[in-house]
Amino acid sequence: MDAKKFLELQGQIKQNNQDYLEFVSELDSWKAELDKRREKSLLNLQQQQQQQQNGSSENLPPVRNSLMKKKYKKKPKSKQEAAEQQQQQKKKIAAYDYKAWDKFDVDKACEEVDAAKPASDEEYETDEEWEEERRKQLAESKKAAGNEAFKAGKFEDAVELYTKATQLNPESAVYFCNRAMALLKLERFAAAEADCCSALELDAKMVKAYYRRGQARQKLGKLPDALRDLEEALALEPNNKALQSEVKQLRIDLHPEKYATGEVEPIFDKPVSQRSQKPLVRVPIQEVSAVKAAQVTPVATATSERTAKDESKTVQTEQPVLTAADQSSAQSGVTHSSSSKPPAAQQTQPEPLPAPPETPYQFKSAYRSLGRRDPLAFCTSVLCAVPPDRLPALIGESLESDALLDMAGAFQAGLSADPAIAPRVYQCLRLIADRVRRFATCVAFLSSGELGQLAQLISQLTGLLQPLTAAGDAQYDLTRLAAAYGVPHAV
Amino acid sequence: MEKPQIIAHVQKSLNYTLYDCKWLPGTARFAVVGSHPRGTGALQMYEIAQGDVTIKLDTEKAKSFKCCTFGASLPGRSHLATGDFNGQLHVWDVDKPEVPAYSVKAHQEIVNTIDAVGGTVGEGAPEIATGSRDGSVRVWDPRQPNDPVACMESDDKATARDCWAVAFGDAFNSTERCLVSGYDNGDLKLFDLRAMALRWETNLKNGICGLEFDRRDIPANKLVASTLEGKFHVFDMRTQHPNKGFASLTERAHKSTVWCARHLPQNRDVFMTCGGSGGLCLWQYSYPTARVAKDSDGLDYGVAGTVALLQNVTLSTQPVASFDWSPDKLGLGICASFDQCLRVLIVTKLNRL
Repeated sequence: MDAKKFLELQGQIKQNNQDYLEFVSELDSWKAELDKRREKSLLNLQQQQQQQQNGSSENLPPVRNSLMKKKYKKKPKSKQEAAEQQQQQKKKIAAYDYKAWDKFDVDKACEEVDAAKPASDEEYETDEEWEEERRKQLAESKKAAGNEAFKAGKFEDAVELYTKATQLNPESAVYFCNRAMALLKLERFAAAEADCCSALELDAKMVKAYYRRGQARQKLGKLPDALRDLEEALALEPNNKALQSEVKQLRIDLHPEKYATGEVEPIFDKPVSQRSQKPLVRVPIQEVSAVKAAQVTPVATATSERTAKDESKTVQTEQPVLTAADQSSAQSGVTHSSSSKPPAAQQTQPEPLPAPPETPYQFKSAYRSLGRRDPLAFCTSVLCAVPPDRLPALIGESLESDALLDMAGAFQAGLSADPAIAPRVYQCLRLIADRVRRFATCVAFLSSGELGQLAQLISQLTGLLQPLTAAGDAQYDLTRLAAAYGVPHAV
Repeated sequence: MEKPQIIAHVQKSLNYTLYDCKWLPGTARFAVVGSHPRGTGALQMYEIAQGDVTIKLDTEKAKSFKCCTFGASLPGRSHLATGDFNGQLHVWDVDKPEVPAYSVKAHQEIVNTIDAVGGTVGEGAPEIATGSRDGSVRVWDPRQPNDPVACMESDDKATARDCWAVAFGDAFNSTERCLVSGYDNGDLKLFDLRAMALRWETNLKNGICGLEFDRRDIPANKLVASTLEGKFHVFDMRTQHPNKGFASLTERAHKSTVWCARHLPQNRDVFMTCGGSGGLCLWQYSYPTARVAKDSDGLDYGVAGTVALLQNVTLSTQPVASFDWSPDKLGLGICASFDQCLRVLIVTKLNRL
């Protein structure tokens, strides 16, 4: 052989030996690893079996073909019948019997084979044990189908399937309990309660049945019975968190004097089922000046905090436009304000008159707080308190008809209270008419009734200023004022 | 010399006739069943340890065992299903072998062959199939006490052929199962257990001694049928043509009966055949470029590939009746032959195929 090939061969043999030795040396460590793995898997299996309380077989499909066929048991035939049958069986024709073969009718024989039926049904009875097993398997399969329907949300179908399961196997509590769950979802609480009772008759320690009966009874309003059921369930399964919280809640609802600790959870953190059902109440918001706010001591309960929170929310939702529509939008924006507890922060003492506004914003807030409620105060504290030439600037850019009317009303009230302010009022009206932007359009949008109000104001002013104009004071050109305000003026 | 080498690692001579040997999956242990000269059954468990095998269990039962399988053993348990010469099917817990976990009179005559699926291999319920000399193939579920789940037998009991081999396959989910059975006249029948119907049948002209799907828990891919007169057939089970059936290739080997063919669990295209002359052959199947072709009518038919002999070795003068690969270690195997010898084999270089 070639030297090179020989060397190659030698190399290969060495290689093979090495492979083999490697393999053998690995065997022991492999065996140790396998043993460890097996022990772990055995432990896991034991744990799993312990957790499975009913110890049923591991989720295997039913025995093949067991649900389809009924098994028939042969009736024991009497000896006579057996002998007769044997005689009737045709004897095979021997190969050498040519005469018999001549008489043999092939077609007839073929027909007989085709028509051969299995033994008639009357001979057999069903095997009772087999039947029972079969029924149980069928019931299980109906239950599995019911579970599928439940998961898919088809609760009606689930109820039907569970009913069939109970008909097939009336001794299993599980089917009644599952049907009760489906009925709860369909809100048929009385039926669910009845089903739970049947389940408990069959299995008095079924936690799920107690729990579901408790839920059904709660919905039906039988709260003391529901509490008893839930407590039973808790006694059977003390570690169940859901049960614990339900029992606690129900106890608080039924016997608040015993269990309620007086703690109140903020409404937004409560689940919907636990929020109060009382209707909402509108809480009017009172603006507090900076000075007064420092003096008002905060009420030390969570309720006032809550209402303060609401107040701040309502303030935010209002829009800084000087319209009457503000009020209605504020109302709609505060739908989530709670009202089950009356606002403790309602201030009843008379608030001090606000300082004269110096910015349009202050003017607006003053108007909002006083403009409608107390026109006299508005007039005296605001309209006449500011220097007249500041007034147009304070009114700002947007003067709406309603605001104008309110101010007119305020002026009227002020004039009737203190006629001496008439010149001041004239000045204010004059300046508003001349300097406030969009004044003309505002006046143009006034209805005739509103114009009438303005006319009243002008005539009142005229009457009050009469002595002065008569004295020749040409400052007060009321005609022009009336014209500016779009009202007819009769001196 | 780059080829895989088959080396006999341990050779143990026993005092009874060995019929079957099977690994216990997940361990380094295997079961051996056979027949004592006095007609009683031998059941032994061995474990690989430090270059030798140590005996873990040694029991003797009423009647000789012919075949065994661990296939129906649920995870965590070691249940060995055995068929004996009287037609009884027993399922033994090898940790407690005094009383069988399940026992039924499966057939009136010897149980020639057994296969199981659903426990260690495949999903779904564990099922055991037995084939017998009385010509019937029965499927058993250990949960059902006395009656088979399915029974495939011919109407005319007098002319029924002996069933020599059964194999499960196509068990890719919990309901699908296929069972193929081979008879002594060469009949090969494929039953679909979910539809309870005969899916395919053919005749291989020689009695079928061994059958195996390359994997039991996937949709049927390949089937090897080993027969008398030194032949084995490999069927491509992916495509069934209505007339031609499944495509197949035939190969000659061993110059004597091919007793069984076993696929490597780690590579389903490699399998070992055991011959009546005491030899073992390692084969590798390679797929054709196109596994499916269309015929003149536009119907699909399968195309068989080729098989190549990787290595062969003669270990004994008597037939090697049974061989089993270890599902946990690549290349480790056991074989039992009629010279009352149990051999532990190591096949090297399989990871380089």
